[in-house]
Amino acid sequence: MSLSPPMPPFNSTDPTASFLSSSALDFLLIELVPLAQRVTSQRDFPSSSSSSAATTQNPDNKHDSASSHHHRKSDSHHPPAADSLKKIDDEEHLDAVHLRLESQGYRVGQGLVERFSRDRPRFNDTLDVIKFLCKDLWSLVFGKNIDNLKTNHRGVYVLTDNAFRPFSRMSTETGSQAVLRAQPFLWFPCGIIRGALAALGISATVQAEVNELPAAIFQIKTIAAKP
Amino acid sequence: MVVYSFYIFDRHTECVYVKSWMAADSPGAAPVLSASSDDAKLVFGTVFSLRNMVRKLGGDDDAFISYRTGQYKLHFYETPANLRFVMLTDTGSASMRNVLHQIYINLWVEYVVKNPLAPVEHKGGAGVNNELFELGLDQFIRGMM
Repeated sequence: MSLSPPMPPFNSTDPTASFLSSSALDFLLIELVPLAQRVTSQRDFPSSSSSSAATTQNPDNKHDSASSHHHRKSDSHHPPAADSLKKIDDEEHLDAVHLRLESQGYRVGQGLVERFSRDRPRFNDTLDVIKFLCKDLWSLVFGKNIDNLKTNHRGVYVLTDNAFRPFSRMSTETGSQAVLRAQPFLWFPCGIIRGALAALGISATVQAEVNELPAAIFQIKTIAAKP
Repeated sequence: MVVYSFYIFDRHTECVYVKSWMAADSPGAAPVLSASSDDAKLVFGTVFSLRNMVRKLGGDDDAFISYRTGQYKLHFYETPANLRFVMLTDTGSASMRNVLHQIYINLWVEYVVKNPLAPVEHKGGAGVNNELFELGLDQFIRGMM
């Protein structure tokens, strides 16, 4: 399975390989983020709109019985209070979406590694694994190699992809916060990396950032090297 | 060859994109279409009626491709997904059907449909006027002129 067009001797090295339109993967990756947001808001924050309406209603009723003067005052105080509550909710919600996408990617990464490292010899050290990730796995999922790999030789690896495939067609009208809105699309790939590393015996934390589309930077911190 | 303006109408018959190339250097003979939104509605009404009339007269396989007045030529391309592309050029230009098809597959599908940040439905043109699409369209049209 590959994103590149199949060459004439089909499947000569891999008899079980099959080809799938890369557009299918593109659309799946696009839909994954809004899907995770919808699932999270419906499952983890059930009826958030109705509950927020209820919280704004209840204090009003209490104030009503206390004093009408206070009631009027509380009305003017409500919007900022509700706003800050909503902000916390938003952050929590974003974290939940992050967790959901990351763990989905983790499973995918684990599976991918099992499938595509089966014909290889065992890896000698962590750098070998990272190189496998940069070349083989990256071109499987994103159709190209990682452009730059840096390491401090103490367990931190920084992978730079100058033209990250999910970002290649990402664009908004001028002046809107494209970089901010692009961030959630990094969480699933982060999970893939972490899952792939975990399947190869390296536990790590993976963080990703985007400074300018279509480049993406992934930072891998290994937690404990393989004994 | 001069391209005057370009319209995209979505499957809900809403105009989701308008672009005009009538710059300061445009000749006086250019058809006057102001930037008001009524223009788009009139253009849509025209191509909608003409397409239906063409099909009624010539059968379902007959396609409305273009019409020409003394001032301009209007080119029409309809995709299988019911998107409608309209382009206004000068009277002397050849068929732009191919060009509209290219805009559809190389720009619309790539930068609008496959854009993770563009919504599925483009209400009020949301997501269509992104930087990559604008840049690609402008380069493509200027490359032809």
